[in-house]
Amino acid sequence: MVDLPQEKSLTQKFLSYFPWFAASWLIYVAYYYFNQNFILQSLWNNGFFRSGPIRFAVREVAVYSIAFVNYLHIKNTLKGTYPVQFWVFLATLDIVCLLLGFFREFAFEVSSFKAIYNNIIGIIASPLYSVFFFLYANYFADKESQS
Amino acid sequence: MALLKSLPQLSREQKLFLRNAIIAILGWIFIADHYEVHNFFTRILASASGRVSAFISGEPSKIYGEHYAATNYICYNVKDSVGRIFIGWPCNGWDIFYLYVAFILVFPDIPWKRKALYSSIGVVILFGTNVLRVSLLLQIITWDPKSFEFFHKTVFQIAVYLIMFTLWLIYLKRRA
Repeated sequence: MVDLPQEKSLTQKFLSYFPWFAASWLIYVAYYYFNQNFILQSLWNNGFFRSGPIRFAVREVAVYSIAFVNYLHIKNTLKGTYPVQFWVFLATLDIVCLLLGFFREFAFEVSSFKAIYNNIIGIIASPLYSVFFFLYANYFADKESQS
Repeated sequence: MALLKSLPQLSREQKLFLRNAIIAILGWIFIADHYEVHNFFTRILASASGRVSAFISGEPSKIYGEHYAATNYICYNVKDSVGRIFIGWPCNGWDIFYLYVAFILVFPDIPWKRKALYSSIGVVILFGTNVLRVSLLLQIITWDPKSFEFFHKTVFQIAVYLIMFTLWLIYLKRRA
C-alpha cells in the first residue's frame, strides 16, 4: 500500500516522457529511410554519401539529435547530475563504438567486434539508449528521494 | 571538468549498476555473434511462425532452411501457396532477449527471484510477439507487398520495443 502513490508517479512520468520518445523515434525513422534511400544507394553507385566521413557525420547528427530531444526532457524533469550523466554515458558508448569501428576497419578482423559494433550503433542511433537512461535515472532518482 | 566531477557523485548502487552494465556488455561481445545460439532461436521462430501462419491463412506452411557456410548461420524460409518470408539471424530476436534480460539483471538491489520471474515471462512474451510479427509479415507480403518494408522496419519494430519498455516499467515500478 505504501508503494502505490510512487507507482502512479512512475507511470505518469513515463506518459509525460512519451511525446519526447515519439519525437526521437521520428528522427530515428527519418534517419533509417535516409540511410536506405541515399547512403546505401550511394555505396552502390559511387554517389556523394560513399565517403566514410560524410556517412559518419550523418550518423552522428542523427545520434546527437535524438539525444538532444531527450536531454530537453531530462533537464526539465531530473535534478542533480542526471543530465550530465546522460551525455557522459552517451559519449562513452559513442567512443567505444568509434574504437570498435576503427579496429574492425583498420586493425584486424574480429567477428564479435562487428557484432558488438552493430549492436551499440543500434542502441545509440535509436531512441533505445534514451529509454534505458529514462528508466535508470527515474529509478535511482526515486530511491534518492525516498532516502 | 563538470563531466568528471559528476562521476564520483554516483551512489554505491549506481556504481554497482554501472559495473553490472559493463559486465553485460562484455558478455554480449562474447556471445552476441555465437552462431549456435542464433541458429537455435531462428529455428524455433521459423517453426512457431509456420504454425501460426498456417492457423491464420488456413493452409499448411512449408519451412526450409539455408545454411551459410561462411558464417555457419542457418536461415529459414516460411512459405505458403502465395507468399514466402525469409527469416535471417537478425530477425530471431536474440539481441532483444539479451538486451531485455540484461537490463533486468543489472539493477543491483532487486531480489533474484523477481529478476528470474520477469526475465522468463518477458522473454516468452517477446518471443510470442516476434512469432506474431513474422506470421503477420507473411500475410502482409502476400496481400500488400508494397507496405511490407513499412511494417517490417517501422510498425512492428516500434510495437516490439513498446512491449519491451512496458515490461521494464512494470518490473521497476512493482519492485518490493
